[in-house]
Amino acid sequence: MESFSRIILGNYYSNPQGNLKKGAFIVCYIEQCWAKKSQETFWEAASNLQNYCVNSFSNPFENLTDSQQKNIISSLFDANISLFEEDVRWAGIARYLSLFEFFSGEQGATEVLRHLPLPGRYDGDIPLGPLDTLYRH
Amino acid sequence: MMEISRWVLWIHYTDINRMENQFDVIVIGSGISGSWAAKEFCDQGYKTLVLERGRYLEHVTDYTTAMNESWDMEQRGSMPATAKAENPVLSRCYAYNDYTKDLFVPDQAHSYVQEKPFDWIRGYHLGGKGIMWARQVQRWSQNEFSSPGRDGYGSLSWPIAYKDLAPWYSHIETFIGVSGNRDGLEEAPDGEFLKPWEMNAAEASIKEKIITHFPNRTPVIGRCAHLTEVKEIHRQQGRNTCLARTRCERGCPLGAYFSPNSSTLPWAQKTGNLTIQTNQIVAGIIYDEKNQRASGVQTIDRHSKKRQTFTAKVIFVNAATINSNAILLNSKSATFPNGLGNSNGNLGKYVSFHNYRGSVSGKYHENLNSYYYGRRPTSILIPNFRNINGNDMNFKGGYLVNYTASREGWGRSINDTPPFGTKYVEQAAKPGPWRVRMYMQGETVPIRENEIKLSQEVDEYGIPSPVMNVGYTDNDEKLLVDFFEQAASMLRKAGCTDIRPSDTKQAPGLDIHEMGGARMGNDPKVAVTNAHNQLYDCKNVFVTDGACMTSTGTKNPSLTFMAMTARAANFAAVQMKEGVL
Repeated sequence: MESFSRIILGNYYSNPQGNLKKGAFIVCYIEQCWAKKSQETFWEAASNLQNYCVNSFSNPFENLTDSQQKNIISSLFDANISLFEEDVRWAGIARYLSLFEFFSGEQGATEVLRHLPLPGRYDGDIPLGPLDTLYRH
Repeated sequence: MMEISRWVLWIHYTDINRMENQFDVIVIGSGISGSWAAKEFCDQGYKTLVLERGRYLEHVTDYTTAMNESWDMEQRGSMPATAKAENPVLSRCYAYNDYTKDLFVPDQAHSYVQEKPFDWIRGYHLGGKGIMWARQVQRWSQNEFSSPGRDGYGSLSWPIAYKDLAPWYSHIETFIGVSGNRDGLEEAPDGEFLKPWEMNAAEASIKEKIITHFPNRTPVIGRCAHLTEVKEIHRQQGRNTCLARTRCERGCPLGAYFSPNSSTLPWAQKTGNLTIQTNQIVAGIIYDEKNQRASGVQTIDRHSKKRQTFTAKVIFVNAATINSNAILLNSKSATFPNGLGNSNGNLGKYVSFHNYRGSVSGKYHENLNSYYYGRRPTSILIPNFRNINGNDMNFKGGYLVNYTASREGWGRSINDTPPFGTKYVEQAAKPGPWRVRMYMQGETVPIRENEIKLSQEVDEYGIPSPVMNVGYTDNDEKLLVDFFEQAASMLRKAGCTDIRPSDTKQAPGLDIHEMGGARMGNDPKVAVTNAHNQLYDCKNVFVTDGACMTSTGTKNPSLTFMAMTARAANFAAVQMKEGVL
């Protein structure tokens, strides 16, 4: 999941907490917060992805080149290409988890989103510029 | 499993004369209504005991997650699967999460029997659900008081009218602080309001379209118990302006929304007349057969299981609907073998709730260059527009509609960029399209078959567990159909697309607005309490929480509970002064 998150987040991938890796958080989150059946389904699909990588490139996903990883993820999201059963669905969930880790973490919440710990007021109509980001809710 | 036995309460004369256990008034329950009873009596110099079955919860210091951010929480605020598995009922509650979990009663901590599925949500600590409540407060309209009698449902008419409660609504609103706009609508009477919150641009635009196409429906900004400004009375309570954080259910260190802990309880304590005893479970009310009045209550300490008796001239029952009914049903005596207040057999009957099953959402395509700043603690409300002047629908009662419009967040699907990488993250971080969601708060019609009773089995304290036998009726299904049609119609006329109805099919109880069982009425053959909330059977016992409600109406009920309580407490105070009680 670490390599997967790195591709999903692009330039926003960084690990300021040192040893605390994004992939490790996601694994722990799934283990702690998901029902057993959902966990099994997710990891079975992840295993299918690894099998595809090994069969196609003789290497697991995390050992592939940057370009190879990006091509595979593109294919996952392409409904016309099937790498394994339910690959589009799995990719959507895995991407969501990467974004969840990022935007609920301090870096994403405070440096990319606009963090308002104490808004002070509610204003119902402010202009939205093309570069404006979400306020964190 | 405890040995099956029926627990019967008798008078314990041996400890009845303990001076430290004698009060003018006993209030059972420290939540929204109980704390108001305490405040009113303490203000008038009466020595008042508040009994709370849960732990002490100190304002500010015990709000342990109030300032936490998601990255401070182990799973970023998500609940562990084990907690969900151990609490299947509680996990369905919107306010239950990793930040608030210590404020809710786990499913197994106080078990109850579900003859029909019922999700009972509780907070056993000082202040009760008054910490975690949603803070939405609206006055009842006259139509809500009139319609049960006029349209013939619930077997009972209200014994009071809006005009009887209006001055008490003002009394409450002035003290607790209610934000709202004076809209001039009969179905949503105006109150003593602080500055209203704003609608956002999409909500305001949708409002205009609804008014254009449905002239008898007027969306207004919600009324909520938040301090948008601080008046002197709030300063005296030590409370501060709301900062639009919406972390409310964790407890607010600013006291910016009304809670017993930030407002009424400390106020009562300052008078020097209040005694609070926590961890005291009320087993029952003691009936003095000789003097034909209640003399006090018997409690069981939650930890030591030691029993105590407290005595008072007047007892207010504010343990929240289910526990209030259970306490009364368990208060058996030779005169009242079926429970105090139950001589007509209707105690625990005619329980009702609010129907929260329906919601409809849609995509809104205007106001794309507008956003909103801050987090608003209320939504837009459309007061009930059904059966206003008579029963002209194929169902009785009505419903209130709430709606909010918000911009979709980073979790939405984004198709106009590669599905990953820097550009995807940047797109996800921008506000998405507007999504509007309407949801209903439907009145349910009280029927005798919907009831609370007591189990043959007892809990670890020897107290029978409550049994819930409450379900939906055909009337509820018809009302739901109408809501789906009307909400979809309003959204369509507003220009929304991708309109999606949703029926949660949730069990009663998740609304956390259960009411009835000790209903007010002028007919003592049907009602349990009279127009002053006194038990017909025992005039020095008052019921002023949800249990007393003759019908549910369409409004959030807490403001009405508080107004009923203040009115009844002042009536009782006069009666005590005159020597009647």
